Amino acid sequence: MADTQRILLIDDSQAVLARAQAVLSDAGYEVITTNQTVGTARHLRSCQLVIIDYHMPGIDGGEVLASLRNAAKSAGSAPLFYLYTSDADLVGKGRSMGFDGSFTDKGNDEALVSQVNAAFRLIRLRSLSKK
Amino acid sequence: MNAPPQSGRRSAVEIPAPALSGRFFSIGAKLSLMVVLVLTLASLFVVSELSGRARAQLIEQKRTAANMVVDLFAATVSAAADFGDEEELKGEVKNLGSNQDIVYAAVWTEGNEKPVAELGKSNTQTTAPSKSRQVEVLNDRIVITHPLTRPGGEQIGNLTIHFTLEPENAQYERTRTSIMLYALGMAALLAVVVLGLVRVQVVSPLGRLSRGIADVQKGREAEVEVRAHDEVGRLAAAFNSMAVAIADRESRLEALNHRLQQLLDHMGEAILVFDSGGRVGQVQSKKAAAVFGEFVSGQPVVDLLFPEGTSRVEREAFEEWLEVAFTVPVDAWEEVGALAPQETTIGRGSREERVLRLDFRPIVEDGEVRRVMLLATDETDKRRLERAVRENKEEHQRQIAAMRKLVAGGGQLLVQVLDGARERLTDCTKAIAGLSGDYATEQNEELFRWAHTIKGEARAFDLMALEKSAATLEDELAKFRGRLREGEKLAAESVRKRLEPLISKATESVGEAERMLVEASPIGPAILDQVTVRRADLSRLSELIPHGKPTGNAQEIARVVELLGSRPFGESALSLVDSAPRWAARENKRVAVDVDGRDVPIPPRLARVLSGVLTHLVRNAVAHGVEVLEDRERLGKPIPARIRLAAEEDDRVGPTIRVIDDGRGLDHEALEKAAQNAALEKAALEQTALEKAAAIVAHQAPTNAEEAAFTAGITTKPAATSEGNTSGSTRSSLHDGTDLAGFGMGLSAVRTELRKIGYDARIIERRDEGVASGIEVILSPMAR
Repeated sequence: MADTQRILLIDDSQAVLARAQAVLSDAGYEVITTNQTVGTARHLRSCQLVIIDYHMPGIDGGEVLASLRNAAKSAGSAPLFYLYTSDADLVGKGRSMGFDGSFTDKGNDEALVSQVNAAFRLIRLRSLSKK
Repeated sequence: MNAPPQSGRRSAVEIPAPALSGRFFSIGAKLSLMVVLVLTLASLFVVSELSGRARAQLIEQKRTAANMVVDLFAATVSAAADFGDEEELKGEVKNLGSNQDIVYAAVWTEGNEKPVAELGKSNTQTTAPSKSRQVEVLNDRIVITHPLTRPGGEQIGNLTIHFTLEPENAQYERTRTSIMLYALGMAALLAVVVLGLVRVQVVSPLGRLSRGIADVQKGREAEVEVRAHDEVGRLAAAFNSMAVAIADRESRLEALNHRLQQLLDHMGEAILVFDSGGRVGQVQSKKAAAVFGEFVSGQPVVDLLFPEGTSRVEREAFEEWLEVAFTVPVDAWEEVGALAPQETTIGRGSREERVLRLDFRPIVEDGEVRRVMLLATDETDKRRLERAVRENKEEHQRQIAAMRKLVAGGGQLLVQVLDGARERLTDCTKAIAGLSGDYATEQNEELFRWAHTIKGEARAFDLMALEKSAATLEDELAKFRGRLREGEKLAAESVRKRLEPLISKATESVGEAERMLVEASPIGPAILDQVTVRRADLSRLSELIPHGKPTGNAQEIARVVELLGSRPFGESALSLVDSAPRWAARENKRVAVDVDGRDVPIPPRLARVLSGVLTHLVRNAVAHGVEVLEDRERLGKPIPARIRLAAEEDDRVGPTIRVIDDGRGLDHEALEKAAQNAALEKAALEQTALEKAAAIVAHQAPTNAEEAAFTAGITTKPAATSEGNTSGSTRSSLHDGTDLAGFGMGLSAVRTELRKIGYDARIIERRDEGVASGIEVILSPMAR
């Protein structure tokens, strides 16, 4: 891959972050992880994909998304925002909450890599279509 | 679809007959209608003509006869007319009434407007007729007017006689009817004959031809019988030739398709083709049928690769790819093809999970990508194997980690448990070997207690495999217990057959636990043979050895006491197996540490310093010897880099320790230059020129890099503070002051420390075909 493919992963669980970072790094991605729901906007400029957990203490993924979308708009970046969950109900609601889609099967490393691969293919396809 | 072509029926595509407007109207019926029409018209013409002629002939005959009658009557009545004998005239006229053909007769004498004698009534004429002879043929009668004359030719009157044509007309009607019937009969007969001929010669052959065409359309073989050498026969013969040519062409195409199909079927990939609408075509390999199902033709390929219910983003990405893949120019396909999914997992997490590696190839027609061939390789088994290996490895590492904790907390207790388990299992084996007759409750209870104890102890020490196998044995014995309590008699032989494999399995688990214990132990197999002694007891024993140089038994006792006080090499080295890779990871490096001679006893004086020395040397090797990943890849060196810690036993002088890495070796130039600078710096501290000169000689720099590395204070580290990343640095010294290697005295301190206990350190640069390929630091006893 010629360009660095950078991902921002937001989850309140350090275990999930550590595991996902290890798996996605092995798959060739540069991963920024944080369990903070504020002050993460500074990472947006360099990330093409943002993966957000839904159930976080005191705030849900939808609120984090709204905040980051505004920040991305101000920063002139347009990453894809995906919800990361294994809750079937949430998967169906992801788009209505404003996410670009949902990554399912949370905790399954192989599924995560496959879905991240697909998301980056989407990004490149859309970029190609614009040309 | 994989069967060879069948004779008599080709698998040609059935082409639908073109739709025709209007109702079907047989060519035979058309011809029949035409023939009947023509013959009817002809018959009518003939009837008209013939009947007309017949009537004319009858009338002509009547007229001739009538003329004769008139002439005769005129001759008869001329005299009476000349004499004005009306009575005679009337009598003669009346006589005419006997002739049934005469419907009217009248005689005029000269000068009278009214007839002097008359028969019947005229419907046409009441005045005297003209003086000339006239014959007028009317529809229903012939009217003849004749002048009456004297012998000299002088006209003396006229006469008119009307002859009826009623008989002739009746005859004419009868004749016409007969002719018409005859003509129509002939026409009908002709029509039947013509129709029969048309049916036999045209309609039936055309029907056979039509059926033959239908057979060809349906892919069947067809041959039309050629019965006549005419246009239809030629058409049939031409059709037969065409059908044979089509059959031949199709059979060749079929054979070609069959060979291609066989080729596809023998390929390991599931192959299918889909069009721009994403619909799967008919071409597919046998493997595709096995992977995706038999009847996938026409289905959306996205449903096959990413069925509903799987990851939406993967499905969405593939759908968008499908939209782009058929719109780009052929030369841009490579870029688009790279964006296709390379893998899919169908039924992830289920028992039917299938992992497919995907490859998409464009099928170009007329310079455009019209279809795409999908080659899907089933990698399910491979992935399962990889996953199983990975999980086994992780499980093994978990167990080793657990075992290390046990060892750290007192390995001898664990050894004792394993010894006890093995001993109990041996007792079990002996007990069931001696079984005969009926199996007794007491025998079962004893075996049960042993199995239960093994299980409990295994559980206490996290020996999962042993716990599981002991539990299986215990469960089986519990079943026997239940049956025995119910009074059932169990044959010892059957009990033995059932228990033997379970005991054998548990014994294997003990062996496996011992192997893991040895692997996890810093002192290797010696862990199984180790006992704990108290340091005070050892000191007391040492005091019992005579002072001075012992001889005889005292020498042997002194050697054994030293061995008792020795620590295994593994104790000093094994912690580095886990630590070094972590240090390396922070430096963008990969390192693996191998330890040889873990159970080599290290004398107490060396054991006290060895752990620190080895840590220093390994950190040094990681910091400066091992290259960063990119450099090793560029140089073609194996990853991870390896650092080997080896101990070799020597009963006579003591063990030799080696620390060997496969890094970049020494930077000779930098080390020698640093050594000279260090000598000059020391000399500069002297007060006088003479002292300085003497000092330069006294602090003469070492002549080679290996020796320079051991010189105190030598470093090639720049004066400015070096920070953070050492990636890409050259090995300028063994202590150039990174976080990892520190700013201490380096190898000089190591050597100093070792020399205090009778050991020395030296460095050998390892070379491979003249190129530095790492260094070897050797710690060995100093010559006495």
